[in-house]
Amino acid sequence: MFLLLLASVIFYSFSGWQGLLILVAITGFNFYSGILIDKATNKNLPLTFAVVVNVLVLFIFKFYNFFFSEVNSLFSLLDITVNFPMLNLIMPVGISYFILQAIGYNVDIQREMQSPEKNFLVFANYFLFFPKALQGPVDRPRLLMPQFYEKKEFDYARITTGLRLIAWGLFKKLVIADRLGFFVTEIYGNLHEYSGPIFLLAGFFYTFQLYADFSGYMDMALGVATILGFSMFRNFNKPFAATSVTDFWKRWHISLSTWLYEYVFNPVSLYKRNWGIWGMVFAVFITFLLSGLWHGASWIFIFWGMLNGIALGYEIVTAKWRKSIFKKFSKATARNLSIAVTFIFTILSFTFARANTPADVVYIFTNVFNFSNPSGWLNTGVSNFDLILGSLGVLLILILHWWQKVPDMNLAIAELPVLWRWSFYCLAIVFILQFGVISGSGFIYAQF
Amino acid sequence: MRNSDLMKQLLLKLLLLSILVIISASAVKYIFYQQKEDLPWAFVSNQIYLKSKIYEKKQNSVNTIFIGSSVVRRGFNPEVFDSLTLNWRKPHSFNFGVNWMGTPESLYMIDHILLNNSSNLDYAFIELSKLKYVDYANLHTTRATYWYNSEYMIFTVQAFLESQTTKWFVKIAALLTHAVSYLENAIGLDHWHIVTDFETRKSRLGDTLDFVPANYLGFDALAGNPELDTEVNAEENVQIGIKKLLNDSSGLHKRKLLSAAAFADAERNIGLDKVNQVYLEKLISLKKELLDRGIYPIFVLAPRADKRQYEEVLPLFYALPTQNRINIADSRKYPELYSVQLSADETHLNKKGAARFSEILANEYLKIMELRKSGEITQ
Amino acid sequence: MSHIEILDQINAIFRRVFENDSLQIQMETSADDVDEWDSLNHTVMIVEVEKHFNIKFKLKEVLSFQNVGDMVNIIHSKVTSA
Repeated sequence: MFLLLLASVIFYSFSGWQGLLILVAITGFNFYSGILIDKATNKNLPLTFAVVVNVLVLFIFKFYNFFFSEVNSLFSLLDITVNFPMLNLIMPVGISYFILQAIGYNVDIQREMQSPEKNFLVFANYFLFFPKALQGPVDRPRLLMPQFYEKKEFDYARITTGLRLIAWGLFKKLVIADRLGFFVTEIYGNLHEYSGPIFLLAGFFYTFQLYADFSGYMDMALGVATILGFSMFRNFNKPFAATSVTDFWKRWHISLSTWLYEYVFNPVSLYKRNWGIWGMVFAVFITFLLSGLWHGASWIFIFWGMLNGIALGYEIVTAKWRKSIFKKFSKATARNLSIAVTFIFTILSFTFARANTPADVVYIFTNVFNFSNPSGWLNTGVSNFDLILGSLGVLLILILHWWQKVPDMNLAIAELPVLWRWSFYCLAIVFILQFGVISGSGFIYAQF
Repeated sequence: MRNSDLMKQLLLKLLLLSILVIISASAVKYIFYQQKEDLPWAFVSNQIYLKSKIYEKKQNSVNTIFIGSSVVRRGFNPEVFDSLTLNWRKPHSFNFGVNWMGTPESLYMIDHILLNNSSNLDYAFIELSKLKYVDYANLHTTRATYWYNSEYMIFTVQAFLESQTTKWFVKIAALLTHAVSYLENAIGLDHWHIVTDFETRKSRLGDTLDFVPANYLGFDALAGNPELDTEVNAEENVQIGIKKLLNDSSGLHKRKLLSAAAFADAERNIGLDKVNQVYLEKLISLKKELLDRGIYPIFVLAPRADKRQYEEVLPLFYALPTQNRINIADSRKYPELYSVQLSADETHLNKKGAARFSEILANEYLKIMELRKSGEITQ
Repeated sequence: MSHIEILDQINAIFRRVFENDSLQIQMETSADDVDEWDSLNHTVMIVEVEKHFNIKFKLKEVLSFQNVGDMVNIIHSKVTSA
């Protein structure tokens, strides 16, 4: 237990002691705020205080510069010179995830769904648990925290399951995501040198790069946690098989979606329940606006969040109507149609999200059908090898997502005869080593 | 079975799997790598690749070459050198200095440029370097891993173990980084990308090659050659380097004092007994091989070295025959090579400095030639 | 009004909202047990229940519902105290 905490602390300290110090401070704050909320007769006051402090911390690190540079430029439009100073802070690793969990913890105590943790060691272990440090999952304290009290025993099957998860995650990250990354970076990095449908391809590849990268990381984190004897949120569930945008968000970054559902959408929609269906549309819009903001402090993400909010709002309003239309088709056709429409929306939405500035978005969508530069179609300087291997990776993901009867690979492999199993392991690792993007291509020249 | 037994079993299986993976990866790499014969050894860095291509073009005229690090790259001006040695056999020299190049990578380089090529070469200057390890920032890069083969790995391990001047923790770090790089090379880490990407890069660099001026002889006065490298800010970077040096030249001054002290000690035979026999034997056998091919090797001590370099290289230098070595590192003899006026930064010379460097080299070279002419050297 | 009576009346509301005439709920029934019980219908159902019993849930109460029984208990306490 102490060792685990030490491992987590060491993990965080790689990114600098300042960040670690801030995280430890937040951990300490939430430890006491949880106890305080529990003891208070009017729980709302300490809860509000705790949430405000947590949000403020996130605001300072993530949004301060964005917000005040916008304020500054707004004032300069009005010919008033006000200069809010920009802060040059290094964002502590994982702070966005950290704050969400802290808020969730405090709210759960106020809702009496969670009793405050009295053991600081357990509490700190939960918050700083290193497998979820970088990109979540946004685990709920009520699910993960009790596991720190369980006695961990060596479990052969569990460890091999974890190792297989890690290998699969590495495959997705190194072979698929990083491969696709070459193309995506080239196009988005030199946007104005390209035009035409290549942007759709870039958006398409980016969607899969993001999925392979993120879910690959998730599998690795899950694998490490599994080896250590913890079960965490499964963050992805075949998102490209989603039949609606609503369904997509139940399959993509699930721990975040459910967090937003529990702590934003649900309270807001119930609070505005007298508005009927429009209360829900309002709630979903607010939820995705916040989600966009959380993803990144820029106009792009705000618009991206609103785009998704509009899509979900549309789905809420038209739910009954769409249902009646789908009744005219066979069940399979209806499903395939829904998947296709959702898939196209997903790609468009991520094409949007990857752009650097709103101006770039406008450029992409106004030039996507501009065929004036056909010679530059695939002449991007990205090697065919990257494109072919990346495309094969995309195909693999799509098969795994669209094929409904796909078996649980982890189990299927575990049940193979020993010779086949070992050959598979061996091949898979060799494949990752030789086909993955591992060695840095840039060689930093030292003196001499 | 008990848990501890299961744990042992698991660890054993993982070990076995790792060995299997290494064997099969090496096999895959070996089989497919051999088929790719047109993949040149120099594909690893633009600088090496382009220099080797330019040298290839000029192979018929070039008869003198200088192999070394960026100190050589930015210090040896073939034009100056050639013009000062006209009264002897007319040299056409080429600067094969490459950033960061040192032992053992430079030995591999010598193999490929000097020994494996039919050439018109008469003379080869070779910068003497300490045994290098792969520093952390460059670990896992293609450049760091491309040259390893069993022969060089064995030499590297033996030479590091033999070294009396290298501290134990440096030895451990060096052996570890070399072992990792060797292993990465053996199992073909990210191998397919390198192989397939080569075609793309070749065509891109081929275009670059067309822009190389006809009189380019490998000398780059700037940190990067904007025409050959991707480094676009070479000119700016030099300005930054000079500014930094003008602000604080204590580092350069230290190097000057270090050089004076090292050579003063050497003259009194202090520390010269710590010869790295493995390294020395390698140099001597290299020398013999080169002579067999009609190439006369001259080992050079370049200025502005650090402490470990002097400790390791000076005993080697003095163990080599006088007619095969040139020392232009001694700050007592050549204080100007340690002056701010001739510097681009703490370790590199500017254009004026390069002229002086080449002039001194030419003078020393002529001395050796006189000796050869008068028949005092029978080689 | 007893718990059983409340449950019966809620069942009628559930059948209407979830468009499922054969639906039979218990105190232990939760959203996982009813296919049509999603976040959309949940809100509609709450509004219908409030209308029917002429009560108003507090936000905190609604959020604390884990199953039908939780809701029935709250309704019971509200109806009897009124």
